[in-house]
Amino acid sequence: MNILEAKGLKKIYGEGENKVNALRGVDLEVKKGEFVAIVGTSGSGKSTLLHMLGGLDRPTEGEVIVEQKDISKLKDEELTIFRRRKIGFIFQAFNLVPVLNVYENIVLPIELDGAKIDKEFVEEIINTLGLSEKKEALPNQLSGGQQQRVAIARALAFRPAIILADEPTGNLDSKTGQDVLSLLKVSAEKFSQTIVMITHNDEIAQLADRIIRIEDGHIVSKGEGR
Amino acid sequence: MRVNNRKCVRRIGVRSLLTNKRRNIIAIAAIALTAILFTTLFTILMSISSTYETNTFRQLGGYAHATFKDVTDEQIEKLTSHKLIKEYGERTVIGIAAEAPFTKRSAEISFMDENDTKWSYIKLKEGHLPTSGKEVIMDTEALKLLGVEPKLGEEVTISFNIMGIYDESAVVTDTFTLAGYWEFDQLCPVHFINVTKEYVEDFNKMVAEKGYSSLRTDLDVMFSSSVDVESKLIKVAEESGFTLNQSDAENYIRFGVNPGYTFSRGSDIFTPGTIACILAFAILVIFTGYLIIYNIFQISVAGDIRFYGLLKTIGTTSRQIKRVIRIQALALCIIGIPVGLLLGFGLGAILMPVIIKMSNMSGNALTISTSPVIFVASALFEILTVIVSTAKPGRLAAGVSPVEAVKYTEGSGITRKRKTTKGAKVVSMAIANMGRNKKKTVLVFVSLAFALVILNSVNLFVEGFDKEKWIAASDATDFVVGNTGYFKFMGGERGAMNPEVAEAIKDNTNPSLWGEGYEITGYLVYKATEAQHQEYVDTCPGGQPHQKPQEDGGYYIGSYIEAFNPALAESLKVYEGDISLLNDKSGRYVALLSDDESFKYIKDDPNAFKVGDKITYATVKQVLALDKRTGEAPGEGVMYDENIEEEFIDVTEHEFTVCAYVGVPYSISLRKGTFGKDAIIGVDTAKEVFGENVKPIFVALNTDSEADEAAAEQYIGNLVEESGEELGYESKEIKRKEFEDFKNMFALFGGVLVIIIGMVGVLNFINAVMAGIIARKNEIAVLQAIGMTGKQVKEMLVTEGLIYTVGAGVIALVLSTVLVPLLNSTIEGMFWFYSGHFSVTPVLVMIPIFAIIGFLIPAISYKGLTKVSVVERIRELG
Amino acid sequence: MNDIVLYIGIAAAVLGVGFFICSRISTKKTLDRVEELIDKAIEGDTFQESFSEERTSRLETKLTEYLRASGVSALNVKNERDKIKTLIADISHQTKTPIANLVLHGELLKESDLNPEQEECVDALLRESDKLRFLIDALVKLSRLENGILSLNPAKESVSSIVTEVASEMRGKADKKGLYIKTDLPEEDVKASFDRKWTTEALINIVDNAVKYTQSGGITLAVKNYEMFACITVKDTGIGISEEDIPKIFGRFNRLESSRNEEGVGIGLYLAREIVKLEGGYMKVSSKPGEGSEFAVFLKKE
Repeated sequence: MNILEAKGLKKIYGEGENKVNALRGVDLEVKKGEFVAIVGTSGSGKSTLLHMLGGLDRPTEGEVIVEQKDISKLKDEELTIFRRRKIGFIFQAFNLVPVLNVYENIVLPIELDGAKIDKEFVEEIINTLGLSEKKEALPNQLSGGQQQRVAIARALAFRPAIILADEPTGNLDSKTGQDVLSLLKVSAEKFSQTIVMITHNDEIAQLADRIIRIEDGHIVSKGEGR
Repeated sequence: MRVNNRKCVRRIGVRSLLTNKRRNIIAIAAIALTAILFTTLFTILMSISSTYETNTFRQLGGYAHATFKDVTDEQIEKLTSHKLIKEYGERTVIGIAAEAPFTKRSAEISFMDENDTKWSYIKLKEGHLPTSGKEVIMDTEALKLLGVEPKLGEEVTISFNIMGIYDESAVVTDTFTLAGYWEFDQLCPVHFINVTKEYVEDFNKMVAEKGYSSLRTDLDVMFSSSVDVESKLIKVAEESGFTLNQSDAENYIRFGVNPGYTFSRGSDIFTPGTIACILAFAILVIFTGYLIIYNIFQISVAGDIRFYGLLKTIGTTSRQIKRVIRIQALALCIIGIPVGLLLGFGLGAILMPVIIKMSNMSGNALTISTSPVIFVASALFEILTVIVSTAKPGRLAAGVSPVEAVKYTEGSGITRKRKTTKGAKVVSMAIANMGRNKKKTVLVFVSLAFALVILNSVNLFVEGFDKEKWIAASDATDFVVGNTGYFKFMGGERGAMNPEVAEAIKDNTNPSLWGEGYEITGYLVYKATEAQHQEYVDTCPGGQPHQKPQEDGGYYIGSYIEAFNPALAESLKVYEGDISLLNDKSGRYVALLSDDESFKYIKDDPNAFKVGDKITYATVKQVLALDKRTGEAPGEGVMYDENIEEEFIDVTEHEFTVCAYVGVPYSISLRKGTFGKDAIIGVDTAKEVFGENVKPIFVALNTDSEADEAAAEQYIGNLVEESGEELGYESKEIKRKEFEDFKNMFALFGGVLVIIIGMVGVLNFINAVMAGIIARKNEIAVLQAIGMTGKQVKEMLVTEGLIYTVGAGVIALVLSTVLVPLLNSTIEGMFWFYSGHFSVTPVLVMIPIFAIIGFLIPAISYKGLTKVSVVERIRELG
Repeated sequence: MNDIVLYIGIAAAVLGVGFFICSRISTKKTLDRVEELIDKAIEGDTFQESFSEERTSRLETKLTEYLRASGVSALNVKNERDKIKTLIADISHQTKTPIANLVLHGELLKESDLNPEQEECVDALLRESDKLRFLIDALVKLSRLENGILSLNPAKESVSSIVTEVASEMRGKADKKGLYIKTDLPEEDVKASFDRKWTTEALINIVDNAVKYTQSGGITLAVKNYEMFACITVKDTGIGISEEDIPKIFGRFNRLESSRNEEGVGIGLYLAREIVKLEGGYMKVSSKPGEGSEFAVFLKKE
């Protein structure tokens, strides 16, 4: 069963001379529970594709279907709430809310929905990611690796169906990066979450079930079961 | 039913607020300023209202809601047991002293209980209420008039008429002991002299022995509120078993409602013109507040756009983001509003005395209202302004695309297509920078220029007050001197002008024009046709008694006649006819009074006398009144309405010819009027026809030179002070002073307004400059890294600042030049004492000052920037 | 003044009541929607998810997640069923060959020279192989039935005809044992609603059972016609069943003491009863030890 589907995705930025064809008709299917890696040279449209999949941006043409729902038909508000409940984002530049501490950052999506926090679960995640000492710290008091772990914790805490990551280890040294990613893979498998991750690191790409290669706005290889 | 995520949003709002201290301070300042303006407005409004109230009641002599007159003890018991009556007080008046020394203001001798004393504004400075024997309390002025020292225990001798009886036998003289006294209130119409209840009871016995009816008590009552006093009163009376209508009934009871409560206060003070002014001012304040608060938030939101994009990514909806911004705004209000309320209240209190002078209320009645309405209304308006101002920035933040959070390019929020600059010239860079955030730029220009335009307009207005127009309009002559009763109408007969004093004045000043004014005393009427009488009855306000027509079908209608000497008659404004005939001894001529408005309709009015017609005036010696309900003379205290019929007996008629229609300047008129046909006649004719009834009431004179005017001013001023006579005067000099005060009041107002709006404009500018610098911190750092010197950076910033300020100045100049003629014509139409003139001086003066500001602020801000090294600033880019 | 207070009081009261009513209506609406969602979820149905900040929206998301994850959803059920289907098919298919081989080799062995003991052994082997095949068949059938993999297709059929069919089919076996099989059919053909194939099977099981436990005499099949049901009776003159044993005979793999030695695995009656039950009918049994038993199958006529 496909948890994620893209049909004929096209994205064009700018006008006239400055027109950029970021995506030129992309088709994609991701099954539930898969770990998919997206690779490609810079400027190939990987980030744009990821943004489309997560509903951060709307395609110029084409459909994005998440859990059998066409999200391009959703209104802005609906899309935001959809993201809040279903999709966990992990970006290269951590994107933590600077005015909230580690714990508050992690449970933010849950609190935004007014839902009850599963305290045990969150504690478990915090422990697993080695952040128990830093629960009250503000983002600017953490190292790069710690901040990224907080971002991952945030993406796991509300048990989203899908985790979208854009070069999550880009700003980390290789050892930290490997640790961080292993934790992510293990957690996602435990909770049957689907991961779509952009990376340029071969070692990391090997952790995935499937590698999708994108070049110049097209998908050149979909990778099959490994 | 919605999910409950308020706490989370509130937390984000509050925490993000705390990170931006600079913006917070400026925002609080802006909010406080606007709140100050609102509070001042409301303080002044409410204070005017309460002052008016107090003023009115003090002039009426008390603030009790209503009175039941002449009641017995049983009646008092019945009435006071009614549940509507919250409090009551008793007063028994035993006598009036209207002769010297109480000619100017009569004295009332009475017993007042505690409540009544309180309600008559009597607050003892020393001593206690009279309790036993012949104790008495009175005011300091009365004591002075009686020649008694304000010391407790002093003996006071008073002569007065028994209440209601006016023959010699009814004069009582008695000696009392001063038990207490209070400061005299200039507004009070009478002197209250209060004795003990014991004395009153004895007095009553004495009165009965003399064969007069005993003195009755008045019952003053207070209800729980002053709303609808009359109907409450009627309800109390009727439910207690009395009637208020039939004066002959057993259970008839007289009543009176305190006139101060029957005015619809609103319409008195708050004319449509005033309301329009208030609204205009409120809108002005909202606009000013909007300008700056909007700008502050607009800039701060634009700078935080990545933050809001991030929130959107995580799943914060637009609605929630708008709420974040609103929470921030309201949190700032919590600090800003109280500050503004306090300062505004203080400012309002300071401005009130000035306003009071402008109105015709006495300065002594000034009360600064502390009604909570002021603070609540100001706070509400302020919050409204804040919410409106932050709506658009809120929408901007809420509408951000979540992709913004992920963009790594650093821009000042909105990327725009920038035209390539021709080289890196500082000026073109500065201009390009301003084009980045068009909205912000426009806003700064608008608020600065606005302040300047207001400054210019206020200055224009105040400078345009034409003193001579003011004086010329109100006065016909340089001086008018007369008996005080003439200037301050206190009822009853007015004192005459002492001819000796008049002579003295004529001799000691150097009048180029000498006028004498007389009043025809006694009951004066003119003879009207039935049609004229009907018109009179129709237009006359209030009920009129019926009149039994004369045998020839004529009716008599009360009128006034004033007499002038020939010199003074020159000051009359002639609408039609020939006033020289007034002095023509060959006939009896009269000039009928009219005014600019009424005269337009005279031509078509069939009931109006025309020039050349005959008109009959008459003096009336006796009028018989008949109460149609009883068939007898009306009893005491009955109202003279349509139930009463009057019959004019003993009337002496005199026939005149109408020689002209004239208008008389207020300052030399009788200062009172009737609905009959008031007229002016020559003094000789007057003396011939009316003989003794011609009373001199004032003299009016003009002086030729300034020196003469000054000398006359001094002489007359001294005379009025020193002489034992009751004299008063008006002069051009006094009018000039009045004018100056009036003008200064507006200057004060306008000044305050300009200062505040100016502060808002400058604040806006400061905010824009600092925000712009912070937003471009990195850019500037990069520029410096690639070789732009600090000096060049400073140059660029200063140029921007100057473009803002001087540019705003130029805009203001252009706007003012266009606006001035427009304002002139509008204001001239509204304010007759305004003479239009052209002035853009304030703007021109301010431009260099603005230039200095435009230079200093960027320079100082830049200093703060350079404290951090270039490398550190670049590192912050990530 | 008092008037104003009164008006304000009334206005406040009206507003208060208004709010109260509105909030009650809103709560009711929410609960209605919640019930609707749960009802759908119970049926294993998916629904259109909405994304708003309404509580119902969050509930929808949670329920959807639950359904996807849990076995309740129709999809998951289907998946499970598919797995079982595969398993059963595998068992059925893969065991055929080994059993056939067992029988083959048994018979081959029997044809060779054997002493009496050996022959007995071989007979036992063959018997057990039969039993095994029978057992596997029955289990496969049962499993398919229980899991809804095979479904019954009831149609209007002639009762008499299958009785006749079954009788003739079982005559061979009965003859071997020296038993008779009689049919007692009414003149008019009785029609009822049942799946021909499966009901035949059920009837065969019952008659087979009867044959197994009757030593002498025979079996009579009769058809009785009632208002809403048609009844097929199988009466035998066998050993009978004691009162306390009657409930047990329909149990899975149940074999009574008295019949341990016989062939059969104890599943035939169970299967028969399940089939009849699925057709909307029921079975009845009466018996007297030593005199015989009568099994009745009631089939719905509509």
